Amino acid sequence: MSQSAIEVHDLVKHYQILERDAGLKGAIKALFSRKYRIKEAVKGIDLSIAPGERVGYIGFNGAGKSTTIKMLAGVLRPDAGSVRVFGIDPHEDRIQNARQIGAVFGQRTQLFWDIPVRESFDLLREIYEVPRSEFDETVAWFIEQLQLELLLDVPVRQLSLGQKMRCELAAAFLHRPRVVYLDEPTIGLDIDIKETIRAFIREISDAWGTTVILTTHDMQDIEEVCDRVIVLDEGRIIYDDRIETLKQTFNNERTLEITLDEGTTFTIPPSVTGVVTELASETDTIQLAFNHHEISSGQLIREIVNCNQVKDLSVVVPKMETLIRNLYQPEVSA
Amino acid sequence: MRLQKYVALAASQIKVDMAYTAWYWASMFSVTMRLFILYFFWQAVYENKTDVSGISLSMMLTYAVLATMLDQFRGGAGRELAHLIKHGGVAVELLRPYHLLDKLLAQDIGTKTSTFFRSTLPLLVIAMLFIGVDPPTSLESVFAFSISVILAILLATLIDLLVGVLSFYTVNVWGLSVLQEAVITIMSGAIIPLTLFPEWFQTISLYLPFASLVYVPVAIYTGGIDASSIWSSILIQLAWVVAFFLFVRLLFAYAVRKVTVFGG
Repeated sequence: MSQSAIEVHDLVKHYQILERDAGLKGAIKALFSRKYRIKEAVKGIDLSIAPGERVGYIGFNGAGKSTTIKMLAGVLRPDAGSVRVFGIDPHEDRIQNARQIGAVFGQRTQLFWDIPVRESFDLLREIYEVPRSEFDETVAWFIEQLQLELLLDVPVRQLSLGQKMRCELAAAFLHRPRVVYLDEPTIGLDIDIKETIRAFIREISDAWGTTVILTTHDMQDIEEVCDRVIVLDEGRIIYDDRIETLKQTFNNERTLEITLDEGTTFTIPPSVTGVVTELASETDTIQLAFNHHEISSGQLIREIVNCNQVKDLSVVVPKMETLIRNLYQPEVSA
Repeated sequence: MRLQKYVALAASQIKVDMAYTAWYWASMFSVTMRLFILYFFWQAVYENKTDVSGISLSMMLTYAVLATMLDQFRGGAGRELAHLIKHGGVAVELLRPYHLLDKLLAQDIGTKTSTFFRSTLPLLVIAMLFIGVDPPTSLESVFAFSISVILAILLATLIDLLVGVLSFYTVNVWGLSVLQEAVITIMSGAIIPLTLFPEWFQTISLYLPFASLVYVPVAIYTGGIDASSIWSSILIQLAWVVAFFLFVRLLFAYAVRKVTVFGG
C-alpha cells in the first residue's frame, strides 16, 4: 500500500475565548473574574490525501480552514485526533516536519522584511540546508516562471502586494517541500497575477509531485489548480470529492433568463410544466431552472418563444461558485 | 544541529542593523549624553572628597563608563519574541526548521556584534579621550573581564527571552518588561556600583542574578572584586546562565503546546 501524504483522524480543536462585558466596567470586571467560552473550531475531521494531489479546501470565514491548516503544519496542537504528514506528527516533531513542508499564509510574510528578496532566498537556503547547485537551479526556474528578475534586489517592505505574493510563493517552494499549504495566496490580487500564480502552482506540483493544500474564496483558483475539493462548514467536512465529480453532478443544471416585451405576461407552455422550475422573477425578467438532461436548451427556447413575446433571452451555465453554494443549500438545486 | 544556518541568521541581522542609520546616530547621541551626565555628576560628588567608600574618582569614572557600555547590550531578543507572539508572526516562525529560541539568540548575537563595532568601540575612544578610563590592573583581569562580559551579555539576553516567552501566556508583556527594565537598571549596578548600596541590599543582590549583568564584570576590571574571588564570581555567572538557559527552554517547550495564533 502506498503511503499517503496527509493522514488525519478525528481532528478536533477548540479555542478558549475570554468573555468580557463591554465598556470600562466590563474591563475592570474581567480583571477579577474571567469567564471563558469554548469555541469549537474543528469538530472531528478525517482526511486522507495522496502524494501529488492538489486539494482545494474551502468554506466560509470561520469554518475552520485556517485552524486545520495550522494543525497540519504543526503550528497548533490538536486537542484530539491525530495528524500525520508523510508519517510525521507535525506538532510533536515540528522541526523535522518543517523540512518537508512549505507554506504561504496570505496575510503574513515569511520573507525577511528588511533585506532584499535575493538575500531572503539565500537565507532560506541556509535555513533549509539546500545544496547550492540545487538552489541555483530552482531559483533560476522560479525567476522565469514568476517574473522575479526585477524584484530580486528590492527590500521586501518596498514590494507591492502582487510582487510580494510572487516572492512569497517562490520562498514557499524553494526547498522543494513535499507538501505545501497555501492559505489564500491570491487574496486581493489582480487577474494577471492570479493567473501567473495558478500556473506556477500547477507546473511546480506536476514537476515535483508536490502535494498542495489550497484555501481560497476564489473558485477560479480551485477550478484551475485543484483536482479535488473539500468543503468545510462549521468545523465539519460537508463535501469531499474529485472536482470532476462535483462538476458532473451539477453539470446539467442550466438557468434560462427571459426578458419579455413590456406589458406582456409570461405563460409557461404546458409542454414543459414539471420540467422547469420558475425561480425568483421580477415583472419583466423571468428565470427558469431546468436540467439539460431532461430538456435541451433549444427545445425549451422554442417552446417559450412560441407562446410569449420575448425581447431577450440567455442560457446561464452554472459557475463553480454556484456549484459550491448548492452544496450548502441542496434544496435549491433539487 | 547545524551551526551554519545560525551563523547566516546572525550575519543577515548585522546587515539589517546597518540599514538603519538614523536609529544608529540617535542611539550614539543618547549614550554620549549619558556618559557626560555621569561625568559631571561624579565630578560634583567628588568636589570636596578624594574617595567615596574607598573608591577614587578615576575608579568611579572607569566604572561608570564601562557600566554604561555594558548596559547597551541588554535584551532585544525577548522584545522580538513578544512582538512575534502579539502580532501572530510566531505562526510563520514555527514553520521553520529551527528552534525559535536559537534563531532569536543568533539574531541577537548579530545585533550585539554590530553594536560592539559600530557603537561601543567609538564610544570607548570618546570616553578615553574626554573622561578617562583607568588601564586594567593586570593581564589576568583583562582576560577574566572579557569572559565575564560575554557571560553577562548572554545572561541579559536569556532574562529578556524569559520575559518574552511569558507573553505566550499574557500576550501583552509591556508591564512586565517595564518592571524588568527598572529592576535590572538598579540591581545590576548599571548606574552606581552595588557596594554603595546599604549592607542588606548587597546581601539580597548576592542571591539574585542581576549583579552578574553589570556589576560583576565591571568590578572585575576596576578591581572592585579582588583577585582571589574573580573566578568564583565568574562561576556564579556561568551557573546563572545555565539555569536561565534551561528554564527558558523548558518554559518555551511548554508554551508552544498552548499556542493560539491570532488573526486567522
